[in-house]
Amino acid sequence: MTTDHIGEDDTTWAARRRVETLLSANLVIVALVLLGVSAVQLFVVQSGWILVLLAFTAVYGVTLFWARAQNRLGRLARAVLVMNVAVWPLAVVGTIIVPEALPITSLSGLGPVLLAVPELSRRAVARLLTLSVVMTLAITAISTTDITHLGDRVPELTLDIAVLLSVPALIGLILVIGGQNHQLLTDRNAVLHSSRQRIAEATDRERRRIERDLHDGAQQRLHGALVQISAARRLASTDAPRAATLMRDARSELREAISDLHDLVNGVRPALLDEFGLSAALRGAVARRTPPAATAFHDLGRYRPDIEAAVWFCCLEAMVNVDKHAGPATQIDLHVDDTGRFLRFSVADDGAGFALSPVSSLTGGLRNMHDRVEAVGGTLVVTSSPKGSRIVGTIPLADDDRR
Amino acid sequence: MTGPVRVLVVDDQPSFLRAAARSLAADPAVDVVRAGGSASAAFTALEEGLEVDIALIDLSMPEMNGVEAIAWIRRSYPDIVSVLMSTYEPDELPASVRTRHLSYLRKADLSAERIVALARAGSLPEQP
Repeated sequence: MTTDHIGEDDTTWAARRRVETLLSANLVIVALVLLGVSAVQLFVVQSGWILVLLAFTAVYGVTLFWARAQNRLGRLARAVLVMNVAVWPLAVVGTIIVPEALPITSLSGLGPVLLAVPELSRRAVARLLTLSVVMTLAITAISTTDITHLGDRVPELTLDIAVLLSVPALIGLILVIGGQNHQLLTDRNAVLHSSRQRIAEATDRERRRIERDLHDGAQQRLHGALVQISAARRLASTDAPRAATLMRDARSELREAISDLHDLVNGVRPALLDEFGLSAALRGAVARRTPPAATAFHDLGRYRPDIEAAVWFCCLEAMVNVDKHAGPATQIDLHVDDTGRFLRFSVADDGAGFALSPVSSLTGGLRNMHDRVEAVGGTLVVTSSPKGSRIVGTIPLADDDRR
Repeated sequence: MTGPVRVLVVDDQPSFLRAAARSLAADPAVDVVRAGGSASAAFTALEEGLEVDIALIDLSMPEMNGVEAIAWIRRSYPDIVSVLMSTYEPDELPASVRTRHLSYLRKADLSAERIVALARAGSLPEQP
């Protein structure tokens, strides 16, 4: 199975990679601190306080490991939150045990807060910033009393070197994170801008398609029927059999016009979707296909109209794509689940698969599907192999997304 | 003009082409000599000697639009009456079409009677 492009855009990927890098760097630093402090305990001063410091540092390291695992699972916000909270117990204990390390401990919380700026909500960042200020004041107060007197027993040079090396490194790191924030937000802005432009273009394209379908389909048939009815009316008294034939033809043109209009309306936004929701509308669409797609809908309710429309559009587009590329005999499995936190749809087929391309170079139907899902805050993942393809869309649900 | 009016119909929309050809053919005053979806195929038929009194040409077609097709017919066969048709109202037509003073017929108004009248009017010598 090749998973050639995953559904997150390039900026989300960049943000995750940055957190991954910082967490890994942090883990290396934790390892170095553990080694250094162990060396002090072994060769310079033996103290229970140093063992406590080692234990807190180790716990901090384990927490960072967990945060990194969360980040790799795509839970970027949770990883950043963990980094922000986990740093303070160690900073407090570190300051109690070695008050001379205050310049290091007071700076250590600033990096994680900056990291949170583009990833968490404004309220969350404000809370973390408050936490950071309160904790910095607290450890400054703590540093005024020295209960361990470890500093007196460690050669002054050791502490001075540690502080002199760490403080510029921490300040450098904070500056780098700040610069990355700027770049990240600029990139996100550009991605949003281009997706907005693509949505506007897609709307325009869709309007032209509707106009063309109406003109080439129903409109021509209705005119044809009108012309035949007019001719039949004129011929009715002189050539009744011919008039009857023309009326029959006109009737079949009218039937076709009605069917064209029905298909067109369903392709845009079916009345079933508005009135009865996703499962009813999708069941209707699936039933018209031969062979009918296999469906499974779990716990589906009603959602904000744009969410329902995005899911409807993507499922239909995916099925049309299967018919177009993999052939109409291909079996399709259509699943839509409401997991509580997410609305997830998946369209899988057993066709011959297709060549995938990176999200940034997508055009046509798949591009539109990405844009529609991203417009409602979701992600789309496409996988394909010679045994079949699968398109999975995941849309996060807030309380006001339901109705 | 004696005998039925010989009509050529060109429209890329098959449903309307079929309906128009059947309706016109039902009237003994009209003889649909050719009904097809492509202007170039119609030109070939004319060059091969197809005799036509009036040509009904759809406005929007993919390979050559009705205005271009009529210009070609007028150059090569000045005796054929050319009529542009579409679903638009006459005042909706683009200015470039209106300024050419082409005979125009809404598809909704198509009937054997109209075709015969247009063919007769078009074949009269122009008034000074």
